[in-house]
Order: sequence, then structure tokens, then C-alpha cells
Amino acid sequence: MASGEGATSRYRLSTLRPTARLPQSARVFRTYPRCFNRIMARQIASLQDRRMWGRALRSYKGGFGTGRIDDEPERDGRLFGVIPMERPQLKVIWETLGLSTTVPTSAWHQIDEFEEFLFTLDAFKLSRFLFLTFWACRISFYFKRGTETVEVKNVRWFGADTIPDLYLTVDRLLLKFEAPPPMPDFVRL
Amino acid sequence: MSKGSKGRDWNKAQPHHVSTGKITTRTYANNNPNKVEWVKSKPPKKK
Repeated sequence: MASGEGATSRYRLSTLRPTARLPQSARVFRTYPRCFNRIMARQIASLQDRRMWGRALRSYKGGFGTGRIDDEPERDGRLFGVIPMERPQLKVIWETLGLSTTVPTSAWHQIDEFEEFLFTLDAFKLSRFLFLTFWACRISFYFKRGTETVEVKNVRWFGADTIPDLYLTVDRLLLKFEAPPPMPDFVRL
Repeated sequence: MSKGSKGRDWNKAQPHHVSTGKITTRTYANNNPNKVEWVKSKPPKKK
């Protein structure tokens, strides 16, 4: 077997660096064109996306995030948004999303100790079949009291084709307490 | 022990995903206390 560089780089997606030659028996042949690697690639959110995201966030009281004040992009191209929520609202959402309430180390038991609760969204733009886009969005919670914070990361992933569709799901969760639909199978995160 | 239990001792509690009902590892349960619950019986199969 070749040294570390060659052994790993035969699985590389780009052809910028030449790969080390491996013996014929060890080589893996590609059965599809190289452009197919772009099927589910992550993209940087455009100015139009950021403006639409900020406009959608403004519909929530106290909503803050990308596109809210200025149009500066995030370094990794994602969009984020923070929406404050009340304690009883959080409790219903917690049970709607199917998070655990019986485990002693669960953050469910710390809800009554904290005062501020934040509903956080992180949206990633993915290209789909070269032309179409798909938005993958994750939910996380933050509890705050003074300088103390508790973060409940990666609560749930959901997706939609457009940003308004994403916020339709968020509306259903925050106002009607309906759980978001599961992520479709073609998304590989 | 029955054949389909995958070597699990149901006298002890097992962690499972709340959303899907799948049994997980103890490491995952310790790292993600918000997503799992401990059960002592097999969850019912979804039809």
C-alpha cells in the first residue's frame, strides 16, 4: 500500500492535486462522471437569500440574525436566526419534538431555573442536481440567566426548497406546535 | 435469551431514541441526554 497521502487521496472528490499511483488491484474506478459530485454540495447563501431570511426573521418579536441589521455574510455561508420564546411555549415545543423528560441529566429539569429562552435556527444552502437548491435547517435551544447559558444543540433537522417554506415549518412549530416533517432521504449531511 | 434480542439483557435499562424508538449505545446516551430515554422493555413495532 502507498503512503498515507496516496492511500487517502484516491477517494478525493477534486482533481486539483494528482493522486499517488496505486497497484491496479487496489484502485477504485469511478462509474459516474465527476460533475455528479456536485449533486449535494454546500453553497454560500446569496445576498437575496440573506435579505429574505432577515425579512422573515423580522416577523417575530425580538428576532435577530443574519440579514437583520446589515448584509454581512457568515464565514461559512450559513444563515442563522435567534427567536426568543416563553417558558410554557418551550415546554410544549420540547414535548412536541420528542425530547426526553425522564433522564436526570436532561436540560428539561433546568427550564424552571432559567429566565430567557432562545430558539435558534441554522440554515445551510445545498445545491441539488446542479441547478436546484435545498435548504437544510437545524434547531437548537439556549437557556439564559445573567451570564449563565445552557445550550441544547442539534435538537432537530428539517428541510425545505425555499426560505419561505422553511419559515412555514417554523411557524407551525412555534404557533401551532406541530412537529416538522422528517428530512427527505436524498439529503446526506 | 431469545434469538432476536441482539444479546440485550432486558432486566437492565437500555437507552433508546425518543423520536424513533431505536436502541442506542450508552456513549450516545451520555453525550445526548436530551434525545434518549431509558427503557426496560422493547418498544412496540410501528405498523
